[in-house]
This record gives sequence, C-alpha cells and structure tokens, in this order.
Amino acid sequence: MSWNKKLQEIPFHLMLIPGVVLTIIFSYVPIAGIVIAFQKFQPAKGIFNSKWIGFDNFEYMMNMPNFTNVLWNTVFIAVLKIIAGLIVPIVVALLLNEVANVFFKRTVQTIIYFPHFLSWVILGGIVVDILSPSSGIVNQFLGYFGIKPIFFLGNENWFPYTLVISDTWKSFGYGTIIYLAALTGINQQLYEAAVVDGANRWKQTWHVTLPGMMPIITLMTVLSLGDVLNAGFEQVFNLYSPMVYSTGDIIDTFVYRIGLIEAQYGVATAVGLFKSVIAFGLIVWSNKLANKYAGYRVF
Amino acid sequence: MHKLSTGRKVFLVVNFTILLLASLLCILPLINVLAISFSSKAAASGGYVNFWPVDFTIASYQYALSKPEFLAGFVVSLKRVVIGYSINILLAILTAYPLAKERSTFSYRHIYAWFFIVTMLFSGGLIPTYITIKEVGLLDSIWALVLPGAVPVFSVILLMNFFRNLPKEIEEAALIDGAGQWRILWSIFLPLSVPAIATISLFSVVGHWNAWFDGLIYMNSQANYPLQSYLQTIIITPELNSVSGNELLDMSEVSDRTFKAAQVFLASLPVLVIYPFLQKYFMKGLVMGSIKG
Amino acid sequence: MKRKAKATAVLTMVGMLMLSACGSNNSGNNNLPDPENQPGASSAPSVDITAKYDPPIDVTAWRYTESSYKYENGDTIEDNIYTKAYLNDLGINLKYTWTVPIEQFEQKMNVTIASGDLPDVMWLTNKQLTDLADNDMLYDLTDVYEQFASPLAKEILQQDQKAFDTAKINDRLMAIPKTASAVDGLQILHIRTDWMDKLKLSEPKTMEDVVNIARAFVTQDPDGNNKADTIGIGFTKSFLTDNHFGAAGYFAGFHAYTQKWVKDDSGNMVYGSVQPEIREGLQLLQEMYKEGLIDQEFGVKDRAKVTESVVSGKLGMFYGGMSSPGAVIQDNATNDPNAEWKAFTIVSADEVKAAPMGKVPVQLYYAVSKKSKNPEAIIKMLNFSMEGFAPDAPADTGFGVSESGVPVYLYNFIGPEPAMKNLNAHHNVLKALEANDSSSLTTEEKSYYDRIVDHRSGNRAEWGQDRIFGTPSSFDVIDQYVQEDNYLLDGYYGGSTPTMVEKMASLQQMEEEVFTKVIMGQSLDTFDKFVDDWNKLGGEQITKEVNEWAAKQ
Repeated sequence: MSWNKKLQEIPFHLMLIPGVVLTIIFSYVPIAGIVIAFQKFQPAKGIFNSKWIGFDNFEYMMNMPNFTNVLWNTVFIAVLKIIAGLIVPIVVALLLNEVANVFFKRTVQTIIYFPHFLSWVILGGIVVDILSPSSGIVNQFLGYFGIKPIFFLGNENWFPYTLVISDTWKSFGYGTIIYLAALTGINQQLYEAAVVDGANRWKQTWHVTLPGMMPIITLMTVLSLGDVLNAGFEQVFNLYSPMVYSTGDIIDTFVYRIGLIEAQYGVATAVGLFKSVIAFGLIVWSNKLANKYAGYRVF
Repeated sequence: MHKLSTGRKVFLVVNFTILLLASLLCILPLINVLAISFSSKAAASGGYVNFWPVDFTIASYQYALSKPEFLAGFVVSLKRVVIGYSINILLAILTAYPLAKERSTFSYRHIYAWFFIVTMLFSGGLIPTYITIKEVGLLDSIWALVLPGAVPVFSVILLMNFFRNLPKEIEEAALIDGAGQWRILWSIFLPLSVPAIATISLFSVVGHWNAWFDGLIYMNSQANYPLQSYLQTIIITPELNSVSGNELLDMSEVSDRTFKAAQVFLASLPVLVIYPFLQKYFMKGLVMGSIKG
Repeated sequence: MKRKAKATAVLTMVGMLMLSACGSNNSGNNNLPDPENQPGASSAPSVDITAKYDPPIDVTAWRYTESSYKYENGDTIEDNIYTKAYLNDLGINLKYTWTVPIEQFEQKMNVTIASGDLPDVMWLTNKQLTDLADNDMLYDLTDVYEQFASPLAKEILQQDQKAFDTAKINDRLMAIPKTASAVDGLQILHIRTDWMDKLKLSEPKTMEDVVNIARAFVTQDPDGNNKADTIGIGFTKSFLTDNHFGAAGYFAGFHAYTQKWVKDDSGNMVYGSVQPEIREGLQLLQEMYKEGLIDQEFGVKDRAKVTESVVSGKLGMFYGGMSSPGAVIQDNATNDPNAEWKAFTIVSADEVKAAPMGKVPVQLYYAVSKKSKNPEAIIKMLNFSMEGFAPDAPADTGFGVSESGVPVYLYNFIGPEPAMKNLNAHHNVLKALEANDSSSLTTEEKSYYDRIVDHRSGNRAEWGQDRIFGTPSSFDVIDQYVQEDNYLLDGYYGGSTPTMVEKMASLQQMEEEVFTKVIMGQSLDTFDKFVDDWNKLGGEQITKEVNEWAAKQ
C-alpha cells in the first residue's frame, strides 16, 4: 500500500478510535470472562480460582433430559417470530406509505408503536383474559363463525402460534419505524419516471418501492437470524404453564428454572456461548448468501 | 390531482380499514391499563375495569409522585438519556462513516466491521461485566450506565447501510473540491441522513429511558437509581412462599396492579411524547432527490 | 395411613413450645435458657457486652429491601432510627456498601462476591453461606457469639435449635440465622361463610365435606345472579408451590406432602410427591375437575387472576396461608359488604387427622467477613435488636411501627424473631380486646389492635387485619395446630445436593406437567409412570443423598 493511501486513510482510523477503545474496555475485556463456561464457577472463588472442568457444562446442557425438545421449541418459535417480524412491519410500512392523509398516517404510526412500552408482566393478565375459551373476546368472535372455543394458552398445539401472534402484535409498530425511515430514502425521481412510463401504484410499489427497500430488508433479515435461538424469555415466562411445557419451554426458561434450584453461572454462560456461536455462524453465512445472490453486502 | 381508478378507491378503503383495526388493537390494551391505573385497588384486583376507571382515584400516581426518590430518579434518568444519547449518536456516526466506505477507499474496514459485530453477539455475562466496571472505577457513577453501551452496534450497522446508499457522486465531487473526510461527513452525509439519525435517536433514547436492570446492579446507593430502577423497588411483588411477616404489609392502599399500571404511564410518557416530534424527520426523504438533480 | 413424618418434627416443636410465650410482655416469663444450649454462659469471660465503641467504628454491610418498606420524614434505608441508634447507643457507624430490591438480591450478591469485595457484615442465603465458609472467607462466630451474645439473644435464637443449627458448618457457627416462626407458614382452608349460611352448609370436617361445599358453590348459585358462574375451589397454574391457592393443604388431607421430604415407615427420607398417597389426592382432584368444581382454565391462571375470581365474588373456597385474608380476600370484603370468610383447619380424607407441613423458617443469614476488624459488632447489634423482645421491655420504643403506621422495624439490620412472635401477638391482641386495654401491647401489636378495633367499629378496609390477628382468624387456626401439636416440618432443610443441582429442575418440571395433566383428565397411569421416571432420572440418587444428609444430623 502506498504511503499516500495510508495517509488518506488516517481520518478513518481517527474516527474509529473512540468506539474501538470503549468497545475493548467494555465488551472485549468482559468477553474474556466467557471462560466461565468451562469452569465450575463459584462466586466465592471468582474467575481466577474456580475449578476448570473443560466441556462439562456443555455436556450437562446436552444431557438435559429434554434438551432436543427444548431446542426444537426454541428454534420453531424463534423462526416463526423472525418471519412474522420481518413481513408484518414491511407490509404495514407499505400500507402506511399509501395513506395520503398526513394526520391519519401519523396517528396510526404513533398508536401502533404503543404496545412496545407495555411489558409482558402487564400484558400477561390481559392476554389470559382475551384468549379465555369461556369468556375471552377472541373465542366469542370465532364463535360467530361456528368455531369451537380454542384454549390458546392451554393447548400444546396452539401455544407456539399464540406466542408468535401476540409477540408480532407487540413489536410490529416499533419494527415499522426502520422501514418508514428507509422509505424516505427512496429517490422520488424514480417514481416520477415510473409514472411517465405509465406504471400504476401497484407497479410503482413493485418496481420502485420494494427494490428501494431491499437493502434494509436484506439487512434486517441477516441480523434477525442472530435471534434464531432467542424465542423471547419475558413473553414465554409470563404466558406459559405446565400444560404447554412440551411445546412452549425454551432454552432461556429452562436455564432460568435450573438457576432457581441453584444459580449455575457456568451452565448459563455455556448456554449463552452456544447460542452466540450458532448466531454468529448464521450471520456470517447469511451475509455471504446475501452477497452472492442479492449482490448486497450487509457488513 | 388525477382521478382515482375504482381499484385504487377500493384499495384505499381496505387499507384505511386495516390500519384502523390495527390501531384499535394496539390502543385498547393501553386504554385498559390507563383505566386500571386510575381505579381503586379493589376494583382492579376484581377485574372490573375495562376501558373506563372504576372508583376513580389517583392514589397510585400520588403514591409514586409523593416520593422524593421519584424526582431524584427522574433527574438521574434525564441525565442518563442526555449523556447516553449524545455519546451513542456521536459514536454511531463516527463509527458508521468509515465502515460505510468501500474496501478500496478504506482497506481495514472489514476488520473493524467484524470487530464491532462480534460484540453484538458475544457477551461475557453479568459477572465479568460487573468486575470490569468495578475495576475501571465506575460503580455507583452514571458513566456505568452509559459507557458499556456507548457504541450502539445495531444502530451503527443501520446507519452504515444508509450512508452506503447515498449517491457516490456527491462525495466524489466534494473530494475533487478538496474537502476532507471530516468535512464530507459533517456537511454532506449528516444533512442527508436525518431520517436514519432520527431512527437511531429514537432507539437510543427509548433504550436508555427504559433500562432498569443495569441501574440496580451498578448503582450501590439507591439515591443514584434512575427512575425505572427506582420504580422496580416499589412495585409490590410479595414473595409468594415467604413466611415472613412482611407479606402482611401488602394490604396497603396501593395495589400491585394499579401501581404497575400507573408506572407504565409515568415511566413511558416522556418517550411516548417524543415520537410524534421525531415523526416529521421520517417524512423528510425528499432532500436527496433535489440535491442529486 | 400413618402420619409418617411425625417423628422428625417432635424435637423442634418441643424446643419451640418451651418458650412459646417469649416476647409477650405480659407473661413475666423469665425462663433462663437451657444451659446445655449455652456452652459459653457458665464460663463467660469478663467482657462487657454492652460496652460502646469509643470512638465509633465503621461497619460496612449489604442488605436487600422489599417493596413493603415505607419511609417518612426523610428516612432512608441508609439513615433511619436504627442506624442512628447503632451509632448513638453502640458506637457503630453502619454503612451499606449497597442495598438492592430483594428480587435482584441474589444476583447483586453473587456479582459482588465474585468481584472479591466483602463488607464486614453481609446478608446471605444458605447457598452463599456454604460457599463463602468453604472458601474460608467468613469469620467463625462461635466464640464471639458465646462471649458477647446476651442471654436474651441466645434464648430467642436457640428456641428452635434445629433452625439455629442451620447456621453451623462443621459444628462451627459461621453466621447468625434470621430465625422466624415456622407455624406462620402452615396451610389454612379459607371458605366464604356467607355462602355457606345461604346454602345451609355446615363447617367442613372431612374432605367429603369440602367436595360437597365445592359442589354446592358451583351448582346452587351462591351469589344469586342466576348464572352458573361460580367456582368450587381455587388453584393457580403453579399450585404445587403457591402459598395462596396452592394444593399443599389439600394433599396434606391425604397425608401426602408435595415437594417436601418425609420419613417413611422404616425411617428413611422419601420425596413426598412420588408417594402413593398422592395418587389418591390426584384422583379426587381429577374427579372434581371433571365435575366442574375446579376452574376449567386454572392451568393458565396465576395468583393475580385467581385473586380476581375471589374479589369479584366468583370463588368461595381455597387453600391458603395465614396472610390470605389480607393479601387475597380483603378486596372482596371491600367490594361486597355481605362477604364473610372464615379460616378452617385443613381436613382429612380418612379417619386420621390431617397435619399441615411447614418449613424450617430460616431463609437468611448474617455473616461476618474474615477480614472484619470488629467481628463482635454484629453480636452487639443482635443484642440491641433482641432487647425489644425482653419481657420487661417498654411498650413503645419507637422501633416497631411509627405513629402513622410506617413499619420501621423493617429497617432493622439484624432481625431474628422469636419462634412464635406473630402467634403471641394474636394472643396478646385478643386479651387486650377482651380487657379493652391496649396499654400492655408493643407498638407492632398495638397497630394490629387499633386496626381491629377500627374494623369492629365498621371500617371494612381493616377486615383482613381482624381475620388474621383478631377472631375468627388465621391465627385461631394456627393456634389450634399448635395447641394440638398437629403440624410437621419439611424433613430436609439442607442446601441443594449435587444431584439436585443437576436434575431437580427437570424433575420438578416433569412433576408440574404430570400433575396438571392428570388433574385435567389424563389417566392416573401417567402418575405411576412419573414415579418410575422420577426415580430413574435422578430421583433415586437424590433420595440417597438426602438420606446421607439426614444420617449426619
């Protein structure tokens, strides 16, 4: 590399210095603590004196009687949430984009962002009410169509879908924000050109808006793959019950219950590391795929 | 304004209906929670409250607001948001800009990029982070709440992608005019990125305002708790299996439910109201086209 | 069927009953502590245990706070009547390195321990006590306790020797246990008596009576709204562990004890949830569920949801604890002026009387860092706190409940309680009510007394207080358990054994799942299979470890 080029790149390094320094101190130094995953960690002994036990914590995790089942539940719920969490906000953003009345548009935009601020602790009670087979409004509504009451929260088959739908409801408004911002970045001249070419609104959406949003959609898809083992602890914890353990128990709730018997930092860290490695692998892989097929590099 | 086709009209009606229903679905639970927060303890715990307060009372609000700790917590939270937000945005911009360059322009960009992405996925967990913060001497200081998350990696990636999609020609023209990188970032990229910056601003403010757990862990004196952490200390969560006599005390005037409901509003109100103000920036996507032309 | 676990509990109860009147100030009880429990009493060296530190010393500490803590007049947890008294009377300047809400206590404690910073005195749970002691980080309190603890403090702490001994490791006293009352945790059956009167039902004596009451509550429209919307008996989705709306009191009617350890006929410790008696209990629950006597949706409802049924007048019977009238039923009494409830002893499904089961009541320990310069300071604070329980203590010291009803006693840093404190309060309050004279009551008792008087003069908002400490009340029932010597304690009170750590979470999950499903109609064979699985998947090993532990006690 020429000196000249190196000199030209100096401002970039300078810009990155503050972020790099803070990241090293507050992220990389603690990340070194991941060694706890290979220890029988005791707070009293600390990181330096706890016993090293190799992969025992990972083995323990794999040997949990229903680990495969719990892992499957986690992936199933998380993947459905990822899909719904991508599609719904995009569709809503597109629908909002079609609204001409600014007041209506802004009002809707604001209202759908409210649920983000309600915690699952609060929502739990509301969800139990509206989904009750005997008195819940949802089942009463379904009753008009001759559908028998469904025990959404107590039925093993329905429970994962109940989680996905209620989670999507809670988060789609917040998720829409990113796509709305992306919509503003689309070059208005492209629309004008499309109109000249005789494209109707539908065609404009298909040929201008969606391609214009593609980079952000690709980005969000790649990033969301990092959540493939995060099925949403707070939500599951507040909504599940022994009746739906078989389909609703996820890695995080399981680790939580292990911790109730005795806080096992080694196992918890091992599980966290396991999740991180998988997530990292998926993100690297999907980033490559996106580059190869969509010609778009996310990172 | 040209005439709308029939298909378009049908679409607009359907669209209107869908968005209206979606809004209703989102606002009704909120109204329910609001009504509960203004209801009496007995009415709330009996499940009598729907969309209008029963036995109207502001006891829950009075209870929370009457405490000097509430105001103190509010001030800490405000400080946290101001400092945390400033650092987040500054670092997001400074970090995203070089990373948005092509490798031909900035040869080390991919190394830096992965350096940051790794931290989004891997974490040492609570204990190592606590020890680090303690060793750096930040325990019980507001910096413990803002420095660990100083680089908002998700926002950096978002902004980086936004920067990347800005037309290259503008930058090239500026370089030919002799502008340096700092200048290009400041006077060309930033003005063009208002919607993206508004987005990450919202994430940063909401995130800092709502965070409560780090306050409880890194602050030693309850006087240094941000508002959300303080509210955690007074929510009534009786230990179900405790045999201690303290459980007898949870018969106080303010109940678990009404208070939690009031907490939602007291705590979220400040960030709920900033959104409508930020909205106008999301609508400002037009600048770009005009510059380009 | 026998009351198998009886023997384990006898010793404890003797210890407790012996001094059950302690702490009441009208008893004049001046029993000297049993010398056998007081090895240091006879050979006490000539230290002045009341000496004040001069100049004052700094003592660092940590603790948790609870949401029930209230403050007034600018008090904080760091600065209040107790911290001032420590400084002025004892010369101890108590400084909290941190305080945290109880929900985050465990985490904050663990991160602080891991970072290697121990204060002079700490609040610890059993697990951390063992960990720190094993790593030689705690000061051995055996000697300072003998030397410095006042006779009164020793008497109160050692009323329940078994509870006291949980603070010993290898026979050395490594912490001061926060003793409390085991009988406060016994199960109680709460029933709506205005419904019983209306439907002309008599008080339950047997399990059959309970089922009949439940049936009448469901079918005979006790709330008179001509709708079949009432529930027979209430449970939550976590009925195996919940105190209110739990099933422990119900299963005790079958002499079965879920998630507790009991002795079998041959004297071995066995896990209650896998005993054959459970099967019978489950069978009846299944029948009741099928018949509609149990909320068909109980499996998804938490405590707040079931409380909703009580408060809105849809549920009139449940198994709960002594605090249920305040914590659960009070709002029903507020909403409905005609609603009346009564606490009953749990009932048996056969001829053998049913005995409720509590736990050894130590959940917190006060330990001293090995590096502490003044390890005896903790004992001085202990002596100070215990003075309030002295027979001749002045009635109003200001350390109990403030005039405006703020429970300042919660600020107390070292606060063990006499074994029967609340039960004694109940007795004293009743006597005062009868005599119409509250002058002999402590501030805490006086606040109960005032509120009960308030209720009796028509304030329904204090209904719960009367139903806990007044009469008829929860403590009437607990008193009956104690008088008849009819209660048990969980046989296991050690920390988690190695296999428990590894397997118990899975086993408990399986247990919750199977019990819930059987109640909701799955064949009872599922329970039999569960018993097999439980043993195979680690239960057998756990049982072995628990028995090894028991052999050492």
